[in-house]
Amino acid sequence: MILALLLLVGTARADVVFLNKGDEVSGTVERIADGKLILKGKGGPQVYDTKDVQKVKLVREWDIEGEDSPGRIKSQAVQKLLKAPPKPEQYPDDGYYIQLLDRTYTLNKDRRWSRRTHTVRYILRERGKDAGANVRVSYLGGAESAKVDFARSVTSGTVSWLDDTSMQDASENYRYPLYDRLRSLKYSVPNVNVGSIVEFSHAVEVSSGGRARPFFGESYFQMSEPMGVCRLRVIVPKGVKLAVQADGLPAGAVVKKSESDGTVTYLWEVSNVRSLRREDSMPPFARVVPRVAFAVQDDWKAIQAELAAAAEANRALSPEMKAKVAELGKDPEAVYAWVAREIKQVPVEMEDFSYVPRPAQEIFRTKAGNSLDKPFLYYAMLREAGFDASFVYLKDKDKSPFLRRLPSVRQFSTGAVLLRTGTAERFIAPLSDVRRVSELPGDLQGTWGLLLRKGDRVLVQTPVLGESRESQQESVEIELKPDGSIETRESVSFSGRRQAGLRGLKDLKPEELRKWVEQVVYEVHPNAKLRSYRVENLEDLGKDIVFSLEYGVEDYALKAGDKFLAFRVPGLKYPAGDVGKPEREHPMFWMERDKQADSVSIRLPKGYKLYHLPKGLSLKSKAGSYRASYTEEGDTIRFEDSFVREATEVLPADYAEYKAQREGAARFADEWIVLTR
Amino acid sequence: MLLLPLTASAETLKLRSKAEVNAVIAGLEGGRILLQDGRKLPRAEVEEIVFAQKEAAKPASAVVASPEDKARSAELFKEAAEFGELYPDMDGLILQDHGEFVLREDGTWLYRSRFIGQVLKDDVKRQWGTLMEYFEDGRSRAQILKATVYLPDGRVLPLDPDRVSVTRPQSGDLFFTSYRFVNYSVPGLEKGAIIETVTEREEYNPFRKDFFFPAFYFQGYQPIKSTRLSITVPKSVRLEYAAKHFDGKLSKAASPSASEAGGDATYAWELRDMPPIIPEPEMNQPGDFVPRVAASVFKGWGPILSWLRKMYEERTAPGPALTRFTQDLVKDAKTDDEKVAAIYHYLQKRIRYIAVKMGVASGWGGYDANLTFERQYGCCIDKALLFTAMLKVAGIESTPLLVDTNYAADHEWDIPDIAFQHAINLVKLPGRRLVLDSTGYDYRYPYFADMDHGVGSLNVFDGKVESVPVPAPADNSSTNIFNMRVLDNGNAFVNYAAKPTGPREAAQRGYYKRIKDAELKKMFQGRANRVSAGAELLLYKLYDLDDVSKPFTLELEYQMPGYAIRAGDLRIVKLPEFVQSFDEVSLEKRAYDIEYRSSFERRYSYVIDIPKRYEVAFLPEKVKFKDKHGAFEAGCRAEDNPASGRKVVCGAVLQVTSRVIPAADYPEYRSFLRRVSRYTENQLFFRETP
Repeated sequence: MILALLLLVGTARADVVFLNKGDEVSGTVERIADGKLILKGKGGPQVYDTKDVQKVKLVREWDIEGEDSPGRIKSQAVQKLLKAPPKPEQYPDDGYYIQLLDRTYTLNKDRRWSRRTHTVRYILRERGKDAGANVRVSYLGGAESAKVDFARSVTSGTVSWLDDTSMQDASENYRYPLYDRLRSLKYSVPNVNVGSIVEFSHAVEVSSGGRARPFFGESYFQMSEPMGVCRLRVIVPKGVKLAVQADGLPAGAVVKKSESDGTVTYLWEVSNVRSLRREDSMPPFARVVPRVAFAVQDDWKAIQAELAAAAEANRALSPEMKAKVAELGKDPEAVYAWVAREIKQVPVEMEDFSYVPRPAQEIFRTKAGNSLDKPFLYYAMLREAGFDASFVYLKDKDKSPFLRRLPSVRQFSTGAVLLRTGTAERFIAPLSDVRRVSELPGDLQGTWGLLLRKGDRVLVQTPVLGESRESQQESVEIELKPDGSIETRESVSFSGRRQAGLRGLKDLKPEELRKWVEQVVYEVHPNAKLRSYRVENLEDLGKDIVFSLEYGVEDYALKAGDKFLAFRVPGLKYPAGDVGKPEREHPMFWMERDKQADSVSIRLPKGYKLYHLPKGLSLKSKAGSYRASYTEEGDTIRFEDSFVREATEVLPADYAEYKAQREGAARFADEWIVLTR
Repeated sequence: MLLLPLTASAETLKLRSKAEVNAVIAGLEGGRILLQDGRKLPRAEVEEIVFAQKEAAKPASAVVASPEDKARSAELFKEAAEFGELYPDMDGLILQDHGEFVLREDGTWLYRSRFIGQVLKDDVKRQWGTLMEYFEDGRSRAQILKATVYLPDGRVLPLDPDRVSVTRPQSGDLFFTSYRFVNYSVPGLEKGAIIETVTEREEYNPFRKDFFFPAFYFQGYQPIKSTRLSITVPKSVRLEYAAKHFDGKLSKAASPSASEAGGDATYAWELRDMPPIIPEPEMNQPGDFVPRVAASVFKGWGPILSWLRKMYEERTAPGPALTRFTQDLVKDAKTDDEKVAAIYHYLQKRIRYIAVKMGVASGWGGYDANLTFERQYGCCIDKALLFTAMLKVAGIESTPLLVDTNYAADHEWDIPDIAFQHAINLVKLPGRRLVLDSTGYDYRYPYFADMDHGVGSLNVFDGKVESVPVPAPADNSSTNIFNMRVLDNGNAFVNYAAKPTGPREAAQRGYYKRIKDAELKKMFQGRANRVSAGAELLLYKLYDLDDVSKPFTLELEYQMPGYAIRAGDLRIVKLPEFVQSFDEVSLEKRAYDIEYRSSFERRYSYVIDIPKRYEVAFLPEKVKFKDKHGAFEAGCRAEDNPASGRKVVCGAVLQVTSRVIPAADYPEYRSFLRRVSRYTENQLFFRETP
């Protein structure tokens, strides 16, 4: 071996030889033959024994021939930026400017398709550097492949090309071997700084999966950064009917359809789009930005029939499963609790694995399932138990709104079961191990689904649960002592999201649970001391949680000199930080309704009399209400309040009223009860 | 010793199509690769050629349980039941956690892990339900040799080798790596079940035959019945080791049992009935208190230092382009401080953080400073090397320091190894030595990231181990200045300024600069509304947010209707944003130290003009609390105000001087911070006169 030093040398674009002893040497691999490797580096050719080489990375640059100086770049978008780069002060909100976002979906006659993205960006300020230069392309292993066409930056007159060094093609769901299909190709364009132009193009090639993974796409026309031109092209063979829905495109958007060479091209183009501004409690991204969705025209009934057949083929139960159903007593709640708890929830979406459930026997055997497979196993077990149950695909509310006119299973994101008992129907989703059977997750309330039972209805809508099923109710008894300390006994009941959150404590050890409760009372007051607590039924999905605690707080009431004691109801807080802005661009949005109610009695100390008691309050808005009252009964003050949010959305037009309601409640919670000697 | 069967020694060609070809290369010339079997591959289609690949053969485990398995099942459940009586209501019980390291004469080595545990709660089922073992092509290989599930009903589910997969994990946007995982999703694992696993990783092509650094922890988040480490080395090799935190009754186990067999010597440590770690807020890292052993074949840091020094010296030699650039960058600097500051700020602002770790040299050695300069990106060690190279041009001596940040356990300094987490710099100025960390983006010279404060470091060029100091609290301060005016009707107007320093300043700068201008406004509107519902934001200004060479200041103005709360003829006024809460003292007792990133200071100043009609009824008293680890001083006073008639002036300073609060000091420290919290709940009481 010629080179004896441990080193790493070379330029940004070169093959890399990794020697067994750890050196990384860059250059161009010119020859491998007869146990020797010849590398041409800066210092001339070097010869290595291949037995001393761990590996060789044959680095390629993702370039365009002949475009290695700014003047020779053919891209009009780049040339436009070179001539007239945007000024950062024009875009005070933004990290980078997207001169061009051009997406093309091409469906071939053989039902394979591709999606190609070509982007040109300009880095406006520091926070745009990472986001503007780093790219990640997702694709489904086995059915799709991703490749870069080219990627470059133009910085201070220099064109720098992406090479393999800062590229990585790997698995996104490697932690879940059973569901390990989603891959991503990520890359980082080199030499990017403020003022750089970044341009890249990549493509994903897709083989069709029939109705279980059909040609379908959703493209958005507003992003977190501003855009000069945002374009979508969908190219299909002549004769293929495309179903399309465009929502929220601005006036002036270009919409075109043209034909040539046996294909039909649909085009949507929007110019000068400002960046999306985030607001507190705003709807998910896909529900607020303009979008175009498309699919090959299909029929919901046909999809239902085909997918129902595919699912039925996987529904068969093993003798062991049948025995389990029998053991659970043919009780839908018991089966629910068993599936919810015993089948490990795998957080991999159907889109990233499959729209056809795995065989029920396999889900049962591996004791693991994603949001499609867990409900499917539940469905299969209910059917075995003789219940009138149907499997249903649902679209969770984190995603874009459902489009009835675009029949495609790819609109859906999770599975559930529709269980009929008599005339009653209820949707059940055994996903997490902390929700009771009646506690349908908020993101699945008020959403649309596809019923997978031939001959049944096709599309169904889930209900939005009443606020009393998404509630927290506290009952508190307080004794205030003359020295300002309090002793408190509190019991709390929960339902829905709040109960599910609390049930997460089931995995704690006893000592961890105690520490958690200590932290809860510390949040009430820094002097709080936990006396006792009771938490029951955490592991029993068949029962509501019982939660009660007793704590004391020394020096709770403020003493203003010797005369006054001032205090508030412990823990009463209605912060209004999320309604700070005077008006809103987007609606306020929640997955579920909400209710919080308190019933508090406060026994006053001897020797003190009431100096000031806040007045009651009653506020109402279209979204809900807040009511609170204080009453004096002998030596006791009673406080009752109830915050109810019946709506899951507050439109910008109704925001002022809702803001006033929330701020009224917050101000009320700030008021003081004052006693005097 | 378990010897693994190997496949024939052919090269592995990884194609861009993701396919892999195992074949002997007959030649590579020009644009083509010829294989011995006659195939020809275009060079452009090949991404990587691995010469030293050795695949592990699949274990010959049957997927059907044997009678021995069933007998073992009964034994294990009996053992678990007995152990469970000592630790009731746990989420899991670990019956066995054994690690075995074997170093061979040729420098290759093996690590085998044997684990037996009973799943008792869902979280543990999730944690133990997937086995993953990493390896690097051409250097190491990994295997899952056993994964047997024993069910309470007597069934036994052995490993299914066909379901073991190999995958390359994707990482965050900023990290590029080359390792892979052997994965296995354990089927049928349920609550009550016992799982027994054996996994193995073999370093068959170590880059240095003398780099062997076994390490092992003897405690975890579940109780462990038997936890054991054995290290086997050739008799000719002297093993250096350190056993830490074998305190009290564990101290006897700190000395290993030694035995010899064949040409090997084996050292073993075993602890039994180890209780679980119960997490606490702001606790120190488990590695700082659990019994642990580290070992090496080196007695001192010499071999590692000379290995690192050689690499770093080569990679910090500035080339012509870097030299020209640096000279230009510092040409207007009049002092050494100005030169260092210019380079420090340049590195933070211009060199993006991206970690490309393709092998040993780039992983531990970093990339050549000139290459990092050319690419304009790099990881911590790349930036540290570039820093040293640029300082060299500026005539200032410096050295890279290797550290474990204080998010991790203290590094083991008694036994040398190379498992460092981060790289920073020590800069030597006349009469002064500064620690600087150019990996961040927002640190004004000479401040540096608090994750480096108080840690040990390996000073590579000076060849020694030394500590990074913890700066004074004033160098990690948040100063909050409120000028307020309360009107007759109880409404109030606030002008607020925040003047942070050190890591606090960097954190605020980094946070605000990532938020859109329009979103910042909403955020400050929300902040004002949290102070008082109905507040109206009048102004927000961020001074020198993007200019890291100048102090960052935030200014807000807002008005608050009905801020002075009426209670009869009283008006009660709170000090905005004054309430202090310390989650770390929320527990009655603590078993573990509190560990902050650094010392810190919080300063509050309030000047409140009040109407003439408001008579002071009560103001919080002047207080001074002191603890071994901090001090708090606060008070309010009424003063005449020539303009409005009256004003109230309040101020408070909290200083926490220690980065680590030992558990033994917790009762006093808790009392101190709780008094601080309670004080900050105080309100100002005024009586409204007609």
